[in-house]
Amino acid sequence: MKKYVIWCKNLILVILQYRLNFFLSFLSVIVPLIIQISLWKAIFGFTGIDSIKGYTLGNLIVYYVLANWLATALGPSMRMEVVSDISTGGLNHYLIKPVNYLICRSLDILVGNLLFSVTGLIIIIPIAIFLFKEYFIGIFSVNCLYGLPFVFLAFILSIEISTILSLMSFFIDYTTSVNKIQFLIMPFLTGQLLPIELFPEKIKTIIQILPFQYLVLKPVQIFMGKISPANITKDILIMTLWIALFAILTYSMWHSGMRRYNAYGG
Amino acid sequence: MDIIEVKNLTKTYKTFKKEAGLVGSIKGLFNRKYVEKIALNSISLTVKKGDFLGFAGPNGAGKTTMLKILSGILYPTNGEVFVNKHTPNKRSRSFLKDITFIAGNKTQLDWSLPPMDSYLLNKEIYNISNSSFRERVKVLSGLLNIRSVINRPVRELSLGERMKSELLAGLLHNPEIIFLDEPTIGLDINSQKNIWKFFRHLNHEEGKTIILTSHYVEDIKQLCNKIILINKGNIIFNDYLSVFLDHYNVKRKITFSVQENVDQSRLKDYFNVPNSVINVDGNTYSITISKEKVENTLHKIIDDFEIFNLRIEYEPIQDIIAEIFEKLNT
Repeated sequence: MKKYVIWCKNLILVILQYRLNFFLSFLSVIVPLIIQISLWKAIFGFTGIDSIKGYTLGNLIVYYVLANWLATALGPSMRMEVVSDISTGGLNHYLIKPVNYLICRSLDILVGNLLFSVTGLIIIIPIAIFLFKEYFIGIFSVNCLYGLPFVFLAFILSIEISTILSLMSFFIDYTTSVNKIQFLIMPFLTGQLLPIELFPEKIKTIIQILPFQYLVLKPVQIFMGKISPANITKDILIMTLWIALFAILTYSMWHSGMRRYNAYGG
Repeated sequence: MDIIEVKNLTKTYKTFKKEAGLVGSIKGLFNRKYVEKIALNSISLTVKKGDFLGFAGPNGAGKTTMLKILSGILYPTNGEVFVNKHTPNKRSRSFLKDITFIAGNKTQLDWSLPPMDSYLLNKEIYNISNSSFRERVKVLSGLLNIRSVINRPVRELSLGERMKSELLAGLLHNPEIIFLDEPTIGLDINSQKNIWKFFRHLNHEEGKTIILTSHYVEDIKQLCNKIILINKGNIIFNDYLSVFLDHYNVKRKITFSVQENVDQSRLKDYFNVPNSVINVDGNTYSITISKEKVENTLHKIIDDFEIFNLRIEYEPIQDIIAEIFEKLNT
């Protein structure tokens, strides 16, 4: 176990070394947030409406602050270090050591995302609360207690999805298109771009069947008090099933991929 | 005692065959053809504990593929492989503790951090005690002469310093079997010599079994007691280096310098073999002949010419190997 602690320590040392990169990465949260809030302010101002599908302007501001913050922690993505390891032979260094590669790369995702999300919690959330305090009243009350186990499971699910996306490079030579598709589609499927209620019925139905909503949409709805405790329990059970299914899929992809691995480049 | 046993090992790679040009690319979208490349063709070999074995062969011969199968990185397509009684591709913990794989063109060290941070990680990975770790770092960094660099970020180190830091990382856990893939690639001659000295110490003093691949035949000549020549996935020679030299080193190169007043145009066809005499420099010439003719040739040169310098050399091993592969591949 201690080897994984040292692994995490080294990872944090590397992230914190590149200070400009670390701080500039917050622009990837702040800029979309500003655009989204400005857009909805304009829509509400222009149309004169009070709410859309149960969301007031205040609800949407809170939604987007929480959604963008959670997306940095939980938004799944194809990990380019894994893709590079598989396609250029970097994986070899891990295979010759008594260390679990998937655990190491999962820790990369977990530590990196935790670091950004905790820093976001310290910087972005307080600023947002300061700017829009009237909309945040009632948020972060008892809902947080229900939300925490949910977020914990969402971390696991996010790591699994990211791992599965990355392990596709065992089977596909050129993964740029897969990376672009997931980059474009994930914000829709996770709920980062729009609350699910604002989608047309058919698209809403598809999103509700898929597991990606548990990463951003559901945790945000829990923090906003939009889901009852009984339904939270039901959602946790469904998430656990998805986690088990993706664990089996990850295991199969890894073992099948290792049979195909040609260790090119190294 | 055989520490490595390979029986009828075959490894094939499946790659898709793409026709050149735009039409070929479009065809490839809908109808992809695959070809199988045989990287290793029913190879069998054994390695004894304490051997220093060198694999030599042209690019694509199968040297690195062999090393990767022996270290468990790749699965064989067919055949059996045992390394220290383990099946490598099962990657058991005890097997992984017995081996290390160091590639000259790849680093396991974190680019942004000093090597010491990577050593501390390896310490935990291999469960090395604090005292053993300190001792091992002290001894290896002294032998490799890198005590002053192991606390500087890897990106600031020269290629030679990086390679030596890499060696220390790979040897920290004191493995019994060391796989080296082009370990001296890109290094200057002094760095190469230092690293040869270090490998000799590992093999002669510490008794490690070392398997090496290298394009620099000089690496093999300086270090190995056994040599395997491999070409297009087939072994064409597998024995001690001394046996190889006895068998293949059948030529000798005689270099001599003559006085300036000799009619040097006579020398061109003097030995009745057209173009056999090469003008090396000014009034120095060399001739390469079979070892049986050396005595007669020397008598002839000494009797007929006023020479002031004479040297007899074995044919360089790299020339021997190059000639073998040239004949096989034409």
